[in-house]
Amino acid sequence: MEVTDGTYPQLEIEIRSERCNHCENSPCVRCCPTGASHYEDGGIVLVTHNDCIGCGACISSCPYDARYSHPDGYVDKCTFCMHRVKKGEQPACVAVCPTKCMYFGDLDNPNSEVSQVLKKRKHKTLIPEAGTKPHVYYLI
Amino acid sequence: MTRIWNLALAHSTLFIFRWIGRRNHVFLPVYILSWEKKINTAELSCNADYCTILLIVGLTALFFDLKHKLYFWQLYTVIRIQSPMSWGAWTLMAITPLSMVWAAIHIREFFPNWDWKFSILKEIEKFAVKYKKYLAWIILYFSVILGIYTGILFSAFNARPLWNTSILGPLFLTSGLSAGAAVIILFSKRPKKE
Repeated sequence: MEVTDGTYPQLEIEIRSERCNHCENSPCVRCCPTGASHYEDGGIVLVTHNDCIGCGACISSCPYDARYSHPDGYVDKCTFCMHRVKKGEQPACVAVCPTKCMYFGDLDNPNSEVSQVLKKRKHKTLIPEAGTKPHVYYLI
Repeated sequence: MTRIWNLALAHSTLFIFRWIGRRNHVFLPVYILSWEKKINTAELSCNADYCTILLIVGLTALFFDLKHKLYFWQLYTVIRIQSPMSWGAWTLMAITPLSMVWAAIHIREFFPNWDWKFSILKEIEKFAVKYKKYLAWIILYFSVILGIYTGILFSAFNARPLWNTSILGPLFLTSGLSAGAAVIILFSKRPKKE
């Protein structure tokens, strides 16, 4: 995502990678009529494919446009690479980032790297006014 | 740009539900009042049959709008109070058979020589006719939910600022009420002029 802000000639360009924000107060989980969208232990928001009817309520309710219909019919989204996280690995995007600009970890643990980074660096969330309490933070 | 439903299909289907809901809001109180002999309903026909047909058309359209169709039954494995679509699904599950029963007990207004053939169906009809007034009340309650849930459904999407407003539920209710009243007037039988 490339966002240009300001007035010429004082322009700023921000390039950021966007994904599901794994919100604490997720409208997608709230709107889901079957419970297919749910919180996993630890707060990652996932979709159980065989419970999803593909109604699209979650797609419409997500302020970040993070969801899409999979060609097989169910709704899909970033899983924070749950299959890797369960094995103690980093999500693929974090693992392969050549500049190591992304951090992933347990926000509930004040000693984790991600908690320490957020303590030391200015950061922001996207569309905070939506009240979704996103768990993806952008370092400024 | 994310797909926000197939507007032509989903919105027209939801409109049908709103219209049916409101038609019942208008029609059933009139019917219940007429039962109490408070008003004369000579000008009203029991236009319940095409209401049921439209309800089925709407449900079919919603089914075809699903992207994971074969899993639609998952809607009925759980009741999720926070999800307006869950309310809608359960309300439709309740109101569709009740609406069919209502249409069935009025079928002779369309086909005067109708015969149910099987004694059990005749018994069911007799039972439904006996408790017709209660049936009307139950359908009325469900029609209010059916009518208002689409507005609540849209207003629950805080991602869409113009939808995310508390006025949407009452707005859907009032807009549909006028449409329901208009349709009843349009399709009502009027006594022939002498």
